[in-house]
Amino acid sequence: MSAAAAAGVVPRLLERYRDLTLEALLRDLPTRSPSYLYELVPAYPSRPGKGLRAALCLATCKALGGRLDRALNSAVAVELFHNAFLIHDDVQDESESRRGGQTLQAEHGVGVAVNVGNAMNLLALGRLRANREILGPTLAWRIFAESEEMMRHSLEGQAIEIAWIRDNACDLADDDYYRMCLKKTSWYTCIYPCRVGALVATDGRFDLDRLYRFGWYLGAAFQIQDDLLNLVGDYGRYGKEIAGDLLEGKRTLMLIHLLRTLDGDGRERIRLYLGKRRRERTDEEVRWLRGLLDDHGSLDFARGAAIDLAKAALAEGEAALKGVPVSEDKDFLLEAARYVIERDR
Amino acid sequence: MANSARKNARTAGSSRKIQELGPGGAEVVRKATDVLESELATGLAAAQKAQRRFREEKKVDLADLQDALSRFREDGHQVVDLARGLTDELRSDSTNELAQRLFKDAHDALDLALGLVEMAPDLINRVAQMAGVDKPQEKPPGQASPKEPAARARKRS
Repeated sequence: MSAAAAAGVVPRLLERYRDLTLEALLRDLPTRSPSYLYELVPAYPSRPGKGLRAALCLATCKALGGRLDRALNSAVAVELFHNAFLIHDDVQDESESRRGGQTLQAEHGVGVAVNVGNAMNLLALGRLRANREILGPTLAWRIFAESEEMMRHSLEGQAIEIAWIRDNACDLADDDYYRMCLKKTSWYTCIYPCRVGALVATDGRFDLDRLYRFGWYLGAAFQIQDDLLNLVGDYGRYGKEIAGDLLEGKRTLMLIHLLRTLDGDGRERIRLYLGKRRRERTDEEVRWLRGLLDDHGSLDFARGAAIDLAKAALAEGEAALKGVPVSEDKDFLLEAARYVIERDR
Repeated sequence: MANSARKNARTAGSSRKIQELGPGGAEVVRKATDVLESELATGLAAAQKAQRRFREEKKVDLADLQDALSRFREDGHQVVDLARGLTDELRSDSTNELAQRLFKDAHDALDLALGLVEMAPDLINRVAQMAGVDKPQEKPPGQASPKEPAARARKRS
């Protein structure tokens, strides 16, 4: 495959699988709804998004010889879980914008947003239950067990991050960030969709353990790039508040690098800033912190880590898919490593 | 401002390519791999507990099995009820009694089969006792883990 063709496969399949998943997600929503519940479920999924998780699930299934219709419930479930996480995350972070629009809590209030997030989790469970009719009880039960593990990691990852902000943690190491990133992002973004896609395609005959490292490195590179875009991105493309992570006091790889690099006085100033509540932080302080990240090479450090992890993901992907026949879906999975660090949204 | 932001967005990704593996790359991947392996080890520990207990104690705990059986029993009875529901429309007065007896027998047969499975731990424990199995085989010293990250393996070569 030529470089140009390889570059095109990711956006093409993302769009194809996003459309397929979204159509299935919207088709089976409850028609009768109490006010401000199921009618708001389409709000986030319908906004411009990448659809990476569903695409990874469907592409893995197809690359390994499976049928898309058998993996569709799982793809819809992961999109529903993802959007529920986003809604609850926006509430916890007091975020104002998401995918180019207002967050659900900014538009409808915290109570409605929490409820809609819960409704999405409920609908996702329904999709996992529906797997039983299509895939049989044994395979459906394995996917349910994968889902339970994914939820546990995501919940624990979110708890780690919340605790850092609550306790004003300023002495974190890179390993701490990687653990949080593995649990909060990588598991549900890459590891879980790939493993479920492989389960559906091969009924568990594929060595699923090979997908742990591929998914982990891919998800870590994806998250670090997301943190970079949060600082240097274009709002029109990225869709979230630029430098919102600094306003929220998120412990990103670059912030951890900066804290490690600075001397006592510099660290203390940042500690005081991070100890404030979000609404007490000023734009001027955010600009100051943003400048420090540039001056001390923290952005370059994070960029380098993302590239190294993407490269490792590519190596793991090639090893995991060795012997799998060449196809558009296999190319998608391998090219995803390049995509996650070169994307601008 | 918008142009500047767009330029920054480009530099976020495309100023360095994936082909460039910067200095310290192996260190980043090593750290990430160690974190993954420790998380997997934590998850595996729970799953391996029952297996280890059998290896060490030569005994299967009935409570472990009954957990799984109770779920299976419920599912099995639901399947029988589902089948009965599907035949409701086809029944006539003459076949009704026969159908009812058939489905009752199906429930009884399921309970009987599961009752036999429940005896399995006892049988396994007896066989283990009779065989007088020695200590579990240990891994030969120096045997490497069968799998290691492709990136790391490649780095070493």
